Amino acid sequence: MGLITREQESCTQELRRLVGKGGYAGAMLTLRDGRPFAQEVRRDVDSGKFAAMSSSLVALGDTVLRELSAGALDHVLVDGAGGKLVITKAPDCSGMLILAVLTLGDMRLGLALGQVEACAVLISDILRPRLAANRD
Amino acid sequence: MLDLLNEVGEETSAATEAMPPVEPSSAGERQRLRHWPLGFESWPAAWIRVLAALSGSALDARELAERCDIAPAEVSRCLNALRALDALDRPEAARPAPAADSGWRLIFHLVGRKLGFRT
Amino acid sequence: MRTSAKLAFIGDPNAGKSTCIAAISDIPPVVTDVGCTDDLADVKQTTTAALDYGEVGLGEQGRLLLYGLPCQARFRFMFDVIREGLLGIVLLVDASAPHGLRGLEETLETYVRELREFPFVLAPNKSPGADDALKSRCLDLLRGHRLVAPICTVDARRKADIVRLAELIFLMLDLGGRAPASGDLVWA
Repeated sequence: MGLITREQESCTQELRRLVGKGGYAGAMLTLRDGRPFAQEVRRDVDSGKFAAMSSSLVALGDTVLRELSAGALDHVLVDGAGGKLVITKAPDCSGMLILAVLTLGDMRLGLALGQVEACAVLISDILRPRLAANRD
Repeated sequence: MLDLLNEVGEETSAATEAMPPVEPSSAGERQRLRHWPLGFESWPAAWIRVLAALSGSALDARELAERCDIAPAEVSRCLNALRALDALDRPEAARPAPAADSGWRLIFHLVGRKLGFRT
Repeated sequence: MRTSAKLAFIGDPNAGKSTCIAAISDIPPVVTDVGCTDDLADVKQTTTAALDYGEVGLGEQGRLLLYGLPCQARFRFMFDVIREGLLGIVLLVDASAPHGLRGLEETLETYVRELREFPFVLAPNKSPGADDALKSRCLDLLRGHRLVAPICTVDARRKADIVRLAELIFLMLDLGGRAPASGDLVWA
């Protein structure tokens, strides 16, 4: 694939900035086949499992919407008593990278969706040039 | 295909009929499968039922005949073949797993009829 | 707890899980493939990231659900998603893979507990021909993990071959004392 450590470090910094805003338990940038790429998560979170589960949820979301002829996936939301899991694809990256963010219990959903989307755009800005170069 | 299986079954039965019968002292011993023999697909259907039974449960010859609905002599021939392949274990304190209930038999029948099971 | 009845198909990304399900499913399989990003992409462009789905209709009596699962260790949690009502497992092996049985070794390591818990059949697919040596090596791997299962070469495209695998699982359930109590199953 050719994404190198510099991009990973830049992405990690964006995830750190997002989590540092408050209200988040962790953020993971995952390759579409379930392998971790960059992360900022609590020590008790199994990052490998978090990455794999996030990619599975996106794959299932894509499949369900396709089967129902309901258009492209925007994001996946899993709303729990102790937090919300928001998962979206980094735009313009050919679906290769998935951003998964776990909020704390009292985080407002609207705020989380907006901040996660903004983070995804910043990550896309970091990675798009490298991905385009790899394709050429 | 069925004719071929029957032919192989007759050959296998003829070969194993020449083997000594199951020893009386081992007839009541419960045994279970250590491994499925390679090439078991050419064995008679009745012997495959014995393999299936022993894959999940430790049973003696009488219990096998009853559970698999097969003549005791046929069970003995199959066990001889398995013994020759060192494919049996004698677990200590072996107890047979319970037979399936009648509700399960209906499910087996429905799926078997739909997919076309041969047994 | 009442639940629905399922068969699981597990194996390497190129082993033929979706093909197996398609061979016996009454509906076109639902597939959740995504593009590979590791060196697996040299072998196959896509891999299952969640699960494949098919079903066998039984009329008014319900359906038997078919699931294809990824074998990579990172997706092991998917097994728990389909565990309830699972009857047995078809473990597929790509017999034509250049890396030999490395994928099978990894799958056995990942799923050894589940393979002891449920009856399963080991099915080399895409065998080039005489495969006694391959099946012997498969048997050695099973015995190394103290697993007991029939080894059946298949062509995953052939319905009769996949039916035979299902029949072996059902026989092991029926005669091996591993059938669920029928009251625990509800047909979806």
